[in-house]
Amino acid sequence: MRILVVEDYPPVRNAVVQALEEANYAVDEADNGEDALWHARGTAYDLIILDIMLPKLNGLDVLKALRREDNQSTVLLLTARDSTDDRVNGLDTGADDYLVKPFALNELMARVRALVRRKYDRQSPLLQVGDLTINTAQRLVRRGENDIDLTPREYALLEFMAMRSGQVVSRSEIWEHVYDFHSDRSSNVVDVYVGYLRKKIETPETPKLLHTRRGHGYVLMEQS
Amino acid sequence: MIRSLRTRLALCVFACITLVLAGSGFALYEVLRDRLLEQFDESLLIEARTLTGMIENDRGRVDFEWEDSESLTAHGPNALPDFFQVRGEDGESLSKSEQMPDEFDLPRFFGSFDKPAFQDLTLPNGRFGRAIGVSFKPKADLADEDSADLFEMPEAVRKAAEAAVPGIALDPQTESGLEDDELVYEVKGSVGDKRYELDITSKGRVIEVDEDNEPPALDPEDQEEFAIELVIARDTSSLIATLASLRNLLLGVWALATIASIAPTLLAITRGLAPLRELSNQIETKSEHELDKMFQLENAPSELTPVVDHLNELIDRLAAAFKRERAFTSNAAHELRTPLAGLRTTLEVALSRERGSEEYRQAAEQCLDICEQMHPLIENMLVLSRAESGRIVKTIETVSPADCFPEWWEPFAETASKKSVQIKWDTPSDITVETDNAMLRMVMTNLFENASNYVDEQGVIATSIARDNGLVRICVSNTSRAINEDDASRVFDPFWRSDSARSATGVHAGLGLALCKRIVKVLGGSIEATVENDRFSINASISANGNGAKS
Repeated sequence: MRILVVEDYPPVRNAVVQALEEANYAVDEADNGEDALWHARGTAYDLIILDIMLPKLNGLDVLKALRREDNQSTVLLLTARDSTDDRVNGLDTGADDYLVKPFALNELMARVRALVRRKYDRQSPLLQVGDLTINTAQRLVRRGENDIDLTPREYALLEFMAMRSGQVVSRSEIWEHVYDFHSDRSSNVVDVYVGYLRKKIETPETPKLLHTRRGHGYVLMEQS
Repeated sequence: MIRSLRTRLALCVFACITLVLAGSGFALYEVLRDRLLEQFDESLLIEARTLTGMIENDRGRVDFEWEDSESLTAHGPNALPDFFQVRGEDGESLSKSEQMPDEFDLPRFFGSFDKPAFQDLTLPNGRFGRAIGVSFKPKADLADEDSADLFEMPEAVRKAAEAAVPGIALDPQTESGLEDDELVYEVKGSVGDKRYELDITSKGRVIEVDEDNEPPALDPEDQEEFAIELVIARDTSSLIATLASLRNLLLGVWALATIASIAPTLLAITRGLAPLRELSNQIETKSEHELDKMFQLENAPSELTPVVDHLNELIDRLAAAFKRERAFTSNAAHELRTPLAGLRTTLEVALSRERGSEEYRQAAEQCLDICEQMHPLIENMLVLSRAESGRIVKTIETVSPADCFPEWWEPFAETASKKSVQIKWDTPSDITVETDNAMLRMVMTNLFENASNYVDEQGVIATSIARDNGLVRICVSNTSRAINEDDASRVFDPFWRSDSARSATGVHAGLGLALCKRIVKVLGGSIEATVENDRFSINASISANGNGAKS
């Protein structure tokens, strides 16, 4: 999942970015409204965490511009303004959620997970593909009766694939949503990680779940 | 102390009505009493005149007609008053009414007929009475001068008299009377010293000639005159009774009118005060959230219109103050929440998993930075709040800007030198200010911080001071292409900051210049910001001799 954090106050921005990265989200950051708009136009973010009081272009104007351009990213407004009017105004402008500073980190993370689920039309934190179960809240994966131990990056890849189970996901989509821009795009790191993941969730005895669609990408589903 | 306006008004009006009624009743009573007394006195005077007519000066002697029973009968039985007493000039009682006991005397007092004297007294029968006292000179008792019987003497009578007594000088007056169906004249006259009285019929027949021993009737002017004092008293009990019933009637009317006026008075006052009650209800039910709603009185009386207007003005001012206060609180909350969120998130992220000591150290350092940013913000908010509520006390001392300003600039020198800023000073050492050192320092520190934050790379920061008519003008300017005139008008708003200020310094609650404005006011001056040719200047003038606003 790729998230854009827009916040002009460095301590908050840095801490949120760190927390999201440690939860294996691909994170980009911006400290003003114009940069935020530039990022959002260039990348299909799963979620944008947006401060309202921003230099150059305020958060609500950024949000208005995005919605006018039919940007599908979910938006979480993160702001110190707490009046009902502010919340109503923010939600009516097109935000999906609203969190007032100062906030508890685990509440922010829970909201982030919920918003990502909603983005992929999932209501339950449990994702099911055949006998593969992914608990997105606890980041636990099991196949049948067996717990599967994944690295954070493998988990992020699996979660993204599971969110879009049944759909073909291109390599570039995996790039955009699972890895951040700092990785080397030219390498075959996606294929490598798909290989790692396949080894962990599939055994010779179990049905194949992660299929390769040559020339298109990958698809996570019960049957080919 | 009566608190209710209604009760106060009611009592007032009621007291006025009572007093006015009582006053007019009293006046009416006095007038009627005077009139009745006047009438009474008038009747006494008439009685006195009547009685006076019955007292005559008979050749130097007092003659009371009523002692002559024939005359009394002629005047009728009631001709004499019940109580009277006649005294001579020497006070000796000459006559008094029969009803009065011998030992009882009426008081001795008198006036003239033109100006009679009156006196209240107690009558011998124990009742109240009133007496008139007059002193007068009785008229002469002209010889039987019953005017009705005086006739011009017929020529026949005169001739008969002159024939009967030769050489007689006839008195001018004569008396006549019917005697045996014949008119008989009683003619008097004298021959030398000798007096004669002749009875002669109208036809000139002399009936009788007598020698008369009485002296001839004197001419009034020739009579010896003397004064008589007459006091007549009359029972006043009927007058007193009349007055008493009049008084009772008036008292009754007064009491009834007073009682009857209570209800209309209360009703009128209640109705009159209705708009006030309505206003009071509006005020009572107005909550602090309805400051945008005006007070409105239908058909407000002109006395209440200014009250309503002034109330509405007050509400407007209150609403504005509330709005400012809310904005300030909301901004303050915002400014505090942001660093607080930074602190909390940084700490939570640091604690979210086991980390190496270097990571913890970085988190701790970041938290310390945030605390250091929060400290001046909170200090400024406190000082501003204190200044707004007027709780600042000045300590006046002599400050030399030439010495102090460079010292106060020191903390910002590093920021400025990073931007390669040129610093210019125009602070003549002969200019000193009598002012509060700490407050001036706060102002200058904020101006310097502002200038060093906003100044362009390789720009100029210039500080100058000048004397001006009891004031010292301080100007701090910096080159800045980012700021415009619209910004300049808003720099003194609490929490306002330009975008460039935000991105330049992260947390920078726009309180510094708001604080400067307030403090400069305390220091007895004013402050303004201008933008000209990419140069942002703040001109502050403060009192040079420590005068100025107390708070």
